Amino acid sequence: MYVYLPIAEMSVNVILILGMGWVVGFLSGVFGVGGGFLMTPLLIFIGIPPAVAVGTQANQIVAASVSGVIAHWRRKNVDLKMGMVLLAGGIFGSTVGVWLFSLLQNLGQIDLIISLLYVILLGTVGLLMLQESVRAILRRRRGVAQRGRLHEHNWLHGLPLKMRFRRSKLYISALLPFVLGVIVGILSAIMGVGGSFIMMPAMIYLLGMPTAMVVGTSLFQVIFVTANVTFLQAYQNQTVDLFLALLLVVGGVVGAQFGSRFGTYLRGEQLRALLALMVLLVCGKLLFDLVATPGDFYSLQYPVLR
Amino acid sequence: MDDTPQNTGDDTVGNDEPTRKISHDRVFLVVLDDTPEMQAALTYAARRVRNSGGRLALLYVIEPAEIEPWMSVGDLIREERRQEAETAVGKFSEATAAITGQLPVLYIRDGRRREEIIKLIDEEPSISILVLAAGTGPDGPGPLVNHLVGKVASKMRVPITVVPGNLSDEEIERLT
Repeated sequence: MYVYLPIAEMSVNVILILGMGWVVGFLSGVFGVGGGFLMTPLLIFIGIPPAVAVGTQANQIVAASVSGVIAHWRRKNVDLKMGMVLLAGGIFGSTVGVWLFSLLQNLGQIDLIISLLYVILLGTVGLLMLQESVRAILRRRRGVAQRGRLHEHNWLHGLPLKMRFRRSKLYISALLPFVLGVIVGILSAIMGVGGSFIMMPAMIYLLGMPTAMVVGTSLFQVIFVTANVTFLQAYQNQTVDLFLALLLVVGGVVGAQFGSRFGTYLRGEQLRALLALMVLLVCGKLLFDLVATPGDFYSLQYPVLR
Repeated sequence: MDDTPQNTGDDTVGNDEPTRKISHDRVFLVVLDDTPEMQAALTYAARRVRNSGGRLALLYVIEPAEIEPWMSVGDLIREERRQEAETAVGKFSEATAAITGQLPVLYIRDGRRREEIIKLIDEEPSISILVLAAGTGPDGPGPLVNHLVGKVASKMRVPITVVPGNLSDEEIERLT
């Protein structure tokens, strides 16, 4: 069952796309992550142009995050003020990111950069996760989790523009969440990820937010940042394939339902190790494709007309 | 959720007072959560203990956290939930002790709330009445009442009292 994707300019098997959406949706249901970091490389593997994969994937994350944030909002687990500062950074970062994206696109280097960034990101994340799970499986018994010394004062606390965040019980410089938002915004625009992977540990260990607030607040800002990315990618770079996004959303929503239902019955350690291996596998395949001798030495690309 | 029940006297918070008549044959179980109606169940159970004897037991169930991709994050979430549980249990046990004059029996469990309640009641033969409160909002009485009074009511070992969440303290006082 093949359909033609108008923006990606290729035909794909509907069942395959739905299936991919389901698998990644399942994982994101289990782990509560957007799954963009897996979906974009998968799309690239089946031949979707990387630029289209990124632009479209951002669209899918908007859909996935909206349902998540509602639940957290009801439980009052969103620090709105913190979310707004992160969002301000995120909007700025993602706008810069999309501009960088078009710059690279015009240079004809965007596909290479996307793949390279993914190799770096997935490689780092995958190795760190694997290290964590191997250590846990070896040791089994673990002590009480700690975030190190609380209220440790370092140069980060000397930054200006201090702001009080009631919900998170924090009094920190607004620059910290802003810069974090900028960085994740840029990643969001260039790689089509929500960025919760980096955002969550950064919010906990760097900003010192209570964990109860972290998921809801990061989801809150992800929605608007990825919406901004989708809009700008569509407007500026014409890389959002709505039909592809629709297929991914449908597969993803169904998968996420299964994932969140079964997730609580599964063992965390093994699942985490599995996820780490998958991330590394995807990373390896991307790396291999980057250095392997291509099947055809020349590829024709029409310059972007505007 | 932050309004603690009215302190009805200068009862000492703490150990059982030997002067007060305490019968251990009847234990009221209240499940702590952060809904406003839970306060009604708590007040009702505490006043019944004070007025007609028995003992109060509080259960706090720590719901399992979602699996986090980062293990250290997941561990931290669990740890902070436990701290939250201890704070809540501490707060409510002091508040009820002010009414009943004795510290309640405390249970903190990990798991799904509806399953842990039934498990606890089956494991602790001393528990004799489960006191729940019904929410008064548009969402119905709440998941616990729906589940325990509806689906598994036939399997319950103890009677369930459902306190309407909109009863005022005076009305509860009159009823108990």
